[in-house]
Amino acid sequence: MPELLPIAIDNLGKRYGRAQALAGLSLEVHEGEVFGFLGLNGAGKTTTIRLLLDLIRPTAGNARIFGHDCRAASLEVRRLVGYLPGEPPFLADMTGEQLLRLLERVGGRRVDAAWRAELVERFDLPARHLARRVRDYSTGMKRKLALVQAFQHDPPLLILDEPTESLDPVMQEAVWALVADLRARGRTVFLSSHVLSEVERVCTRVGVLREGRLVLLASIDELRELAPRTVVVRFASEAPPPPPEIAPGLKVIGSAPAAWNLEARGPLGPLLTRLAGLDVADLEVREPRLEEIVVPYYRGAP
Amino acid sequence: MTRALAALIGHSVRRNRALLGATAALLVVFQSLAALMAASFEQAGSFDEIAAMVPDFLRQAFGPSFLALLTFDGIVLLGFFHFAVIAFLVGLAIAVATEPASEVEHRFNDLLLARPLPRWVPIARSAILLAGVALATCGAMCAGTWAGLALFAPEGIDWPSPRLILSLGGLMAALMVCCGGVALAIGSAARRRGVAGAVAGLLVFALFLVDVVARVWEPAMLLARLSPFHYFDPILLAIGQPIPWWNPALLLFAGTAGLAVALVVYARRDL
Repeated sequence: MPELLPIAIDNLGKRYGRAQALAGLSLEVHEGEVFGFLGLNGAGKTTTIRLLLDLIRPTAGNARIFGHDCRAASLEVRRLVGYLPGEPPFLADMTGEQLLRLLERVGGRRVDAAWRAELVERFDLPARHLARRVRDYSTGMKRKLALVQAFQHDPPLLILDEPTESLDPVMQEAVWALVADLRARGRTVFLSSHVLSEVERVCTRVGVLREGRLVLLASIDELRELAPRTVVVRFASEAPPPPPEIAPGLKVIGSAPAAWNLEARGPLGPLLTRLAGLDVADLEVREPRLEEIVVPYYRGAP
Repeated sequence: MTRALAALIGHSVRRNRALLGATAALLVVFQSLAALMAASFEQAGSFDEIAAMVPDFLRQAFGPSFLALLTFDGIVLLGFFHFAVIAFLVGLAIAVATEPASEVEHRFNDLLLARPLPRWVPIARSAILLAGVALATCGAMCAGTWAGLALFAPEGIDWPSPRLILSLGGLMAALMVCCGGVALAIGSAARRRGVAGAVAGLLVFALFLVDVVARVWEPAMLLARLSPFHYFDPILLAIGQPIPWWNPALLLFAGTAGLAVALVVYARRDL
């Protein structure tokens, strides 16, 4: 029996009049993955998410969630998804508690009280805060409430649009810890974020959208291979002049009185052979950051 | 699904309970005061004096039915044909019926419809609420009328019949359902509640003016058949003349047609 993928998108497209918001998007997200969906504002991330939830209708292609068509079987789809919108759309005159209860009743699934209590504790939303009207909440508290409503029915797939937006560092950490816990329990997470350092830490794969098109789809490890590492060789005394070509995959990008700056692709063995006999004091290898790899895709360079 | 529908209805009622409660209380008080006023005129024998003071041009403009309203029954039933009450209740119906547009505007739908909730549910919620508000407000008017009569009617005077009071209340409720149904259809396609309310309000006002023109200018009569106010004539009822049974039926039918359009449009649109 074929695996029922949490998300399978095939040639999905969305037009608003003459504006093409999304074009030919195809991707798969596997069970237990934390998938990072990246792109500049207006790239089509939220459009994709709203298409998956059947809040808007595609003009081309289709998407499936756990084998259910997002259009034809949208009720089944939405039964399996927890959704955190990019901007928490609460009605200001409701209390947090009223909102969570309403969404529980509308969702048609009983929420496990112990699980909700754990979420409320993790996100530091005590009962006295939940008893207040949302109009009195800070932006961060609204986001925490939005997180609780997304997670509270413990769905197998979570779709999170900018989950750490407007949260303080402690709460950001709480979100990522929860995502990691859910992943360990076999849940799948599809998230959009602008914070690439966090994406790099928690995601297993990323896709980059630019102007409605998928321009990059790779695992974090594959991404690292796309970009060279930076190697700094520090000498105990004055650095000898670097040779024009050290070894295949190694390129000198600069030198200082006591150091060489190199760009390395592939194994470092040939470099170590070259350095044998030289007065090397230190060797620093820096892995490329996700920003360095992904941001050029945002702008259309690669 | 009934649980979800009930939850949404409860949520909307909770949010609007102050407005609805205040409206019902105002209508009860107003109708009771109308009965007190009528009793006061009756006891002072003022109806004939008031009728004598009405200038000829007013008698000609409003016809013989105008004088027929200057009676105990006519004053008691004032709220059922007073323009301000009608306008307020139609406005209330439009406000209730445009809640789906408000949920789209504030993106609250992103939370509701990200759950396994069929799209017909928010529309059905608004339709049920509209019917409930129409029944509650018109019921409050009927109750206020009876309360006022019980408290203030002079000994020995004939009260307006319960059938008449209920017919007036029913006709008013049918008008609210009709205008609310049209607003629901408009609101189901709108992204902003203000726009939906303004369009529905303007449309109802235009149809009201069409009916006003048609009452004094024969050529406009054909167009007036499109106006809900063509089928809403509480003064005729109040002065004891029957109105065709299909008048309220047509108003209810128009409201139901608006609901049907709303269901189709909302199911097909991008939210």
